[in-house]
Amino acid sequence: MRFLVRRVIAGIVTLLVVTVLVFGLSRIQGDPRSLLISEDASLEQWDDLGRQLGLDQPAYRQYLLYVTRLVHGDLGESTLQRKPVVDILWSRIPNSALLAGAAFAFAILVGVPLGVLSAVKRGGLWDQGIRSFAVLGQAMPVFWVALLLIYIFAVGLNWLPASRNTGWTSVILPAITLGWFGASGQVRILRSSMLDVLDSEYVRLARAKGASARAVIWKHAFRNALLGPITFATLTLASLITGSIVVETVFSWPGLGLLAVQAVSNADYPILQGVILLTTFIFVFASLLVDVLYLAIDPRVRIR
Amino acid sequence: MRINIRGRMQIYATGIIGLFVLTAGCGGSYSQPVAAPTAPANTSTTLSSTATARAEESSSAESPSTRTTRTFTLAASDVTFPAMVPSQLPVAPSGFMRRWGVYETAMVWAVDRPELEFRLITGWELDPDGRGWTLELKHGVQFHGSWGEMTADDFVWSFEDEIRDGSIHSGIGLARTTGATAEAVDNYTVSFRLDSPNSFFFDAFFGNGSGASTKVFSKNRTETLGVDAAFLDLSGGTGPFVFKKWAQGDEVVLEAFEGYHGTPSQLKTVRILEIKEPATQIAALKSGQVDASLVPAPLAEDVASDPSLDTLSFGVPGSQRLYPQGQFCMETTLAGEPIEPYPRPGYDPSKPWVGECDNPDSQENARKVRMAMSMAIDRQSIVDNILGGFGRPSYLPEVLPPLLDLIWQDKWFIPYDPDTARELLVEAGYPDGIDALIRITTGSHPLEVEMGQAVAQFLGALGGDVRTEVLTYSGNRPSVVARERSDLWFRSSSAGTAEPPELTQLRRNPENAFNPGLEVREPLAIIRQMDSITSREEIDKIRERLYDGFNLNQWIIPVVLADQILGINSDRILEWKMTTGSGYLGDFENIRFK
Amino acid sequence: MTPPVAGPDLSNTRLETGRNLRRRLRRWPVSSIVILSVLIVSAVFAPLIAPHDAKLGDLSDRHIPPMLFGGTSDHILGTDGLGRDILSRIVHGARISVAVAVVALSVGGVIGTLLGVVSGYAGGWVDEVIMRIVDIKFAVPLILIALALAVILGPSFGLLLGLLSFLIWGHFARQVRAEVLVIVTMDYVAAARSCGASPVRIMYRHIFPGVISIVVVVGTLQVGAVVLAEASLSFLGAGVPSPTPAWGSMVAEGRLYIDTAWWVSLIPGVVIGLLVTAVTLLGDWLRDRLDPRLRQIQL
Repeated sequence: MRFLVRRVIAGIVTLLVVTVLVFGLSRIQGDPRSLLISEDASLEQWDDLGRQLGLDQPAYRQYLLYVTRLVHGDLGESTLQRKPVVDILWSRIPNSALLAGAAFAFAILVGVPLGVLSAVKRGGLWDQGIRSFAVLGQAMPVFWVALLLIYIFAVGLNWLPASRNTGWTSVILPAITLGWFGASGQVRILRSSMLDVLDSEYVRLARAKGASARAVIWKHAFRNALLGPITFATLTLASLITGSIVVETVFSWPGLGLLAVQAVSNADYPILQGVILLTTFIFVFASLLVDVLYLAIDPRVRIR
Repeated sequence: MRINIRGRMQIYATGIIGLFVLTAGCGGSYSQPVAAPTAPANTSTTLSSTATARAEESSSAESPSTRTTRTFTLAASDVTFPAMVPSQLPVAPSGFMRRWGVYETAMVWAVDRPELEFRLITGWELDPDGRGWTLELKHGVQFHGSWGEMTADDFVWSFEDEIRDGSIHSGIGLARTTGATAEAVDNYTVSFRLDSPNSFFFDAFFGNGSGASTKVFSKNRTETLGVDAAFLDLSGGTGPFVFKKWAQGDEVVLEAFEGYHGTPSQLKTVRILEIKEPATQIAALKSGQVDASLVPAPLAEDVASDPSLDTLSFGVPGSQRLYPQGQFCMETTLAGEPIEPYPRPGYDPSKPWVGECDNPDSQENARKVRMAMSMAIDRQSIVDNILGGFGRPSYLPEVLPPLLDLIWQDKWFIPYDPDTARELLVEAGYPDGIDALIRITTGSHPLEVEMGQAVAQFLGALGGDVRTEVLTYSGNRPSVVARERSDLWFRSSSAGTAEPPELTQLRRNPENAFNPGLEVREPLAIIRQMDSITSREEIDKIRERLYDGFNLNQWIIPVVLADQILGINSDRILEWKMTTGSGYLGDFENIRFK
Repeated sequence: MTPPVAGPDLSNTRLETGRNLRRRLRRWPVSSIVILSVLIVSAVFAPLIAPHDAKLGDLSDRHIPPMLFGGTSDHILGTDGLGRDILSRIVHGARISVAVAVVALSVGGVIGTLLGVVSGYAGGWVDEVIMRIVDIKFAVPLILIALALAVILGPSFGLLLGLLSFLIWGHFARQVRAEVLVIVTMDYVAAARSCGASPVRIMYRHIFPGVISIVVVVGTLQVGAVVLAEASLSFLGAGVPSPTPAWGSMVAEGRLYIDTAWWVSLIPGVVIGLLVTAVTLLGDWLRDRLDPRLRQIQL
């Protein structure tokens, strides 16, 4: 339907704009020859390399060339490793996906029940405790939580590994660190959504009809309250992407985030460009999915 | 239980060996390793007190049948740079290609004495006129990956590939200056010819100490696979280990090579894991996830107090220095020859340490500023507080042989004297101190950032605003190549490796792509003279003149020599003898398990 | 307010005053206000409050623990790796955090609000374009761009402010636009239009006042986001250049010594958490007071 088509076009426009941004970034950094040239090279060799790399062409032509290659799936070659960027990205995606998945699972498995509990036991001790946890969870900086967890569980108690991907135990600490923020967010969102719905006419009617408390909560309130968290989903994804950069750095988790940070340090711009484009693409795609989900769940939107 | 590591300094041995070679002059064939005449037998600088007792050889049986199937795991914070065909090498943190135990050079410095041991050759001979070497290659050296046996063709090809146009190998300059050519006389004999005698050439290319050392690769492999594929291919070396896996930024796995021509390794597998955070490196060490890892000095006690761990110091320090960049005062001739300089957008005479090139008063003020900066740094305090005593103050721009060091250090001693420093600044026209930015490049020493920040703090105490910025060496390189900078650069070198001396690196400037901001005519002219000296006394005199100049002018401001400490799992590891030139990313064949 | 009760008038007794006071206080987010006041006062009067120089220390005073853990009264919170007093650095760091928050919120908030109002009021292709730009902003991983720029251009205060302003204007734009879309349907706007009022006048007199509560709520909640973002960027090395103290860089500098000199990393992290918590609670309270309808706004 027309709505979806418009969203798809918007997504494509987004990606195009990002390619310009990414191209511009690699151009401001300076002359790419300075990364490739040997320390003993002469001025003549410098000029030759410039011609080889097409640096004497006007900028827009270089950009068009760049985009053409992109469309054909050629993201260029890493300046450091001399391997195609696509291969390198491909090898790191599973690690990032694993971490993001585990973090998301943690956020949902911890956040949702706590959010519901908090709404149902509104005003009580449980509610207050859970709300404090949620606020703290969103207030503490990710890197600090990471260091704290490493210190307590890896260095201090020596229960869990604190770096790299060595098996299923090694994903625990990074996933908790990354998912902590999301869990807190879910708690707060779900709680307020649930409260809204629980107060609504619709639920009061169900109650008046004699439906049991549990039925009311799960059948009616919960489903309608889901709309809130789903909207929050894209924000959660954004925070997962941003958070994973810091988390992967601290835990040396070999994913896309760490790859990007290393690429920045090493002035390896093709890789950096690749990661930015990939994450943007993932985000755009996920937003589209959320829109579709919305259409499916909320009949009101369909009518519009 | 203590494990011993001894190392040797090639840098001074370069000069000594070269001299010995040249003064030998009349040729003769040596099939024994050469003993450097003046180097004392035991000058491993005992900066730490951990290297005392020595585990005896009783447990190191040499026959392959006792080879363990065990894996040795090492943590490194920067597992990078495929060490492939040398000419394709992207920039390494120290401009220097590691051997990994996979690639070999003609000779290596012995572990515990200042002698060269043969690896790929069985003998060498110097021509009577001092302008050529003949190397006798070892028979039966097999390449990894069944590319056949090593012949003179491979050796010649490897050398030529290193110095070809477009290569970014660090030996090009020296090879070009000397006009070196190589020729395969027969299957197992290689002959090198130079335009003029050169005391640096021998060790630079045939020892294992410098980045220029020729690692021999299979010519057949590159011709068969093509250059690009060969770059990514993991075979083609000759050493006791083969690359089994290379995952950039993740890990490297090596496996013992069955067909190795020398003493085979006692280990089956070596894994080098990348772990960036020092806290997690140490956690991994304590939990047994890794067998060895670099440990920052202040944490050494904590690691040593763990019953299953031990610490070893390299004994061979790396130098940490501060470059005042922007000193671009070269003209277009050097020693009478016209030169073609790169553009220098970074030249900024308003910087306090640069001054106007043609104005003697301005130059004298700039000199005073640099001297003031040098005197404002409390080097001993950095050694005591940051390095925990594992290091010592440095007063010269390169690491000198310890013996000469002790004699000459007093002569060029620079006191910690902030009051005089302030006076000098007032004289130079900066009564309120100087504002500066110090860039700290990383990748060499775990404490480099702290040392750099301490230097910034000392300079800031003079009154100005001194900021710091941290970036990797490769992140900083582009602007250095482009000669854009006129700030301060704090640069560290790893301990245990033999970094090519600063000054020899600068010899081909200003025509070279890379220059840290030191294009001052006087020292460079002197360095160029060193190429063709033929007598020991001459070298000493020239060296002294050079260092006099550096001491007076502080063109490069030396800070400290910093040692490094390796934490090792002493429950599992019995012994690891390291030669210099590998840091800790090599010599795995010398590891003995318990 | 308590409903009127028959009986003796006790409203002037000490008991009643105490109870009244407590009841009144409970309505306000007291702890948040206290924490924020302390931090703002520290930021403003930093040079007067800080016992030592925040940028220069004595190397031989390295890693002194906090007073209660074996340190001295000279350095209540201990010293860091270069011998600098941590309390002084925290106090001066508050300056950076407060300055960054104020400027980023002002710039980002003003731009975001303006664009949101224009977008909501004008509709049509103007609306489309502006919302597309907002979408793009949310899709791009800003932190990577920030890191790259910090390496290319060198870290600077100006760069940090620019990046953080850019980070948050999108939230303002979206929320304000949503509110404007509602206001525009109101009768009094239609009435103003039919009287021939110009769009600018309408925006000024009717629309801006209507969005103020939303702006305040979003603004307060974004303070937390800005502070956390600044801390993360400082941690990764893209914040203010050292030795200017910033809480995020302080945590980063101490991470090597988390086992032995834990206070260097722990204390700044706690302070960041306190600030963000205080601000978030305040934002929640404001939101509930100004318009409970706004409960859906979480960031």
